[in-house]
Amino acid sequence: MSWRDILLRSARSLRQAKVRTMLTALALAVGGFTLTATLAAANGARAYGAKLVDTNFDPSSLVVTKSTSLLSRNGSDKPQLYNTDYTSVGRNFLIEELSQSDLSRLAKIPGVDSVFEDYSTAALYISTQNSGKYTGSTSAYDPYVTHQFAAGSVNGQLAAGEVVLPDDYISLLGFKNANASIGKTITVVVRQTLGGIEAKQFNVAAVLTSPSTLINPGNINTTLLVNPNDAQAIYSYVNNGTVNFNRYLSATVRVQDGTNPAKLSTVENAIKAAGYGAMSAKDLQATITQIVNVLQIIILVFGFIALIASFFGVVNTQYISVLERTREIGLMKALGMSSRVVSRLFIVEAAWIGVIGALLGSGVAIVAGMLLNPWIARQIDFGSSHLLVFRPTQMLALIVFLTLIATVAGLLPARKAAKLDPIEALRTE
Amino acid sequence: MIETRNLSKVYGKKDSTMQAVRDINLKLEQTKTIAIIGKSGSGKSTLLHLIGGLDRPTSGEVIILGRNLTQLSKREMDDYRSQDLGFVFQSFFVEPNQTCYQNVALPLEINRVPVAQRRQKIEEALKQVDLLDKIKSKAVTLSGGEKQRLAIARAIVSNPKIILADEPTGNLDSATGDKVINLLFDLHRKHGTALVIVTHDQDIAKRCDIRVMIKDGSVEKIEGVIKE
Ligand SMILES: Nc1ncnc2c1ncn2[C@@H]1O[C@H](COP(=O)(O)OP(=O)(O)OP(=O)(O)O)[C@@H](O)[C@H]1O
Ligand SMILES: [Mg+2]
Repeated sequence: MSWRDILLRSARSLRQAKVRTMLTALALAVGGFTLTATLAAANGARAYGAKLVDTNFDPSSLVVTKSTSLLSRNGSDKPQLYNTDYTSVGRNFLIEELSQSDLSRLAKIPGVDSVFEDYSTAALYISTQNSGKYTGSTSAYDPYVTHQFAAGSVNGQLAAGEVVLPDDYISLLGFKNANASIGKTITVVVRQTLGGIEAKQFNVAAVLTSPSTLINPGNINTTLLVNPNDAQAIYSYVNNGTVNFNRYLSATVRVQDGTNPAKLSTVENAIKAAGYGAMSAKDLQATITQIVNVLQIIILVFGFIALIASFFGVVNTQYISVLERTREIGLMKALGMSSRVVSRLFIVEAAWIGVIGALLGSGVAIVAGMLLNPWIARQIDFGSSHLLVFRPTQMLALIVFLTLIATVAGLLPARKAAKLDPIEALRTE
Repeated sequence: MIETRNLSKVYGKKDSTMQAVRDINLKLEQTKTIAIIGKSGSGKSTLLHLIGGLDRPTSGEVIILGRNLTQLSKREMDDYRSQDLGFVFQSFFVEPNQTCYQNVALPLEINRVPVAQRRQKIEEALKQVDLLDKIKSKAVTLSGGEKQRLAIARAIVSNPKIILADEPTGNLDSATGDKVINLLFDLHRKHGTALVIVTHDQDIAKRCDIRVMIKDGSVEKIEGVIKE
């Protein structure tokens, strides 16, 4: 019997037991759906992670910390030997801070272009003449980070006295829309830790669309970006005289030609060798990807467990099919069909169930994904990116995989069919 | 030539054995019509199965069309059944949910007949059993007699040299049964296909050239022309 006839004949047998076939395929489809959805969600999460890193970090820079890990618990619950570099966060966490001498050391490492301190400073409030007073903070503008502007533009470094305003402030500060705010003046009021209050005027140069990928609690961006010198001035004004002045949790080290991965990693290794912690955008992305991968594996395991259940479903269905068709098998063998072909008929039948189940499962997942993606994006402010990303090669591999599982499940029943004695089968009235 | 030498078949093991066929020696003209008659349980079907290569003898030999069946491999035996024989059974064994066309196509599929040649052969076979108008009907919609005619069409579609029929009229009323038997004899006349019919029916037996009477697994008597 040719493969064509085997394929057609087994498909016909399945059609004659439609309900049973569909139910068995449905069991497989559940596993297929889980796997498809998991793969798609993981794809989306990895892409999201990549975008997250892209919009927040300069790819040619390294984030450097004093200790090799950002939050070093520095050994256990015992009291620690005092170190002037320590600042404590909470009760037990000690964080080593970078001092000015560290920054100068970093700047001298070969391949380092420049070192930026983290000048993020909380403002007392932000306002315009005809608006209320709102909380916020200032930070240095980094021209190497990819920004998305709703209005206005910035060429290279932000000029002194200019500010990039997050779009969350537009209506709060009494502007009709983002465009209306360009060129207008806003006031940033800061308070010295040791007393005085100062108001600084800034002109709006651009409005930042806060992408959902901004690392900020609640996705609300309250950081106004200003020229680094302005940021430093505010930082100094606020912190001057305190113990934390000129000590930083982290610094950004820009690497010369840092978009070249080899150069970036050379400098990264040099910084690490000097006893600091360093992390590139790629490292961060790798960390995110790793977390996603672990989650993905956990869910995939559940998907596989579902598949094991449906594996036995296919075995069971095929056994019933063989029992039900004892006469038919007996006849086919009596007419000279070889045991091998009989076996193939049943294996192919099981494979068909796998194909149907896989198409059903991944099909439903894809349709559900297309329907849900816009909704998910709205719910968690995903912007234009999709949480569920379907890859054709993955889908194909999954369909092949499910078909393979069903085929393997069909082996034992097919063996039983092939071993059937035609006379006994023909004697069953 | 259909020949058996000291053919025996024992069913069961050890204590509960049952000798269905005992030391049968036959030498029958292959071009004739042969009836195998005997009481129920006498071993007729078993003998037919041995001749038809569906079963292997416990001892002895079957030599048909110049081949010793006992020496054939499993594969050769499959080929022997699919190419040289046509089977007709008491309870039809047609696939109820398949059309007449699909039922008759089965032996062609088994014999790997190219798709292009199938329709003509199937139509020819259905025409011979007068079922051409039912080619697209599902077998389940056919009457008993039509089902048996469909089974005959399936048996002859590969142009077999011998048709083995085990009580082909057993499940049919006498009028319908007559039609089916007439059909088998017609085929024999037209194409020279040998017929081996297992039957209880004396009338059918009388129409055959050779009658082999079986009792308790042994040949009791042979009537008709026997070639030495
Ligand atoms: N697989 C088997 N195992 C044990 N005994 C068997 C088996 N097949 C047949 N027999 C026995 O062998 C004997 C001959 O059976 P067979 O079917 O050849 O008889 P038969 O002449 O065709 O009878 P009937 O006219 O009822 O069809 C019977 O006694 C039957 O019980
Ligand atoms: Mg019988």
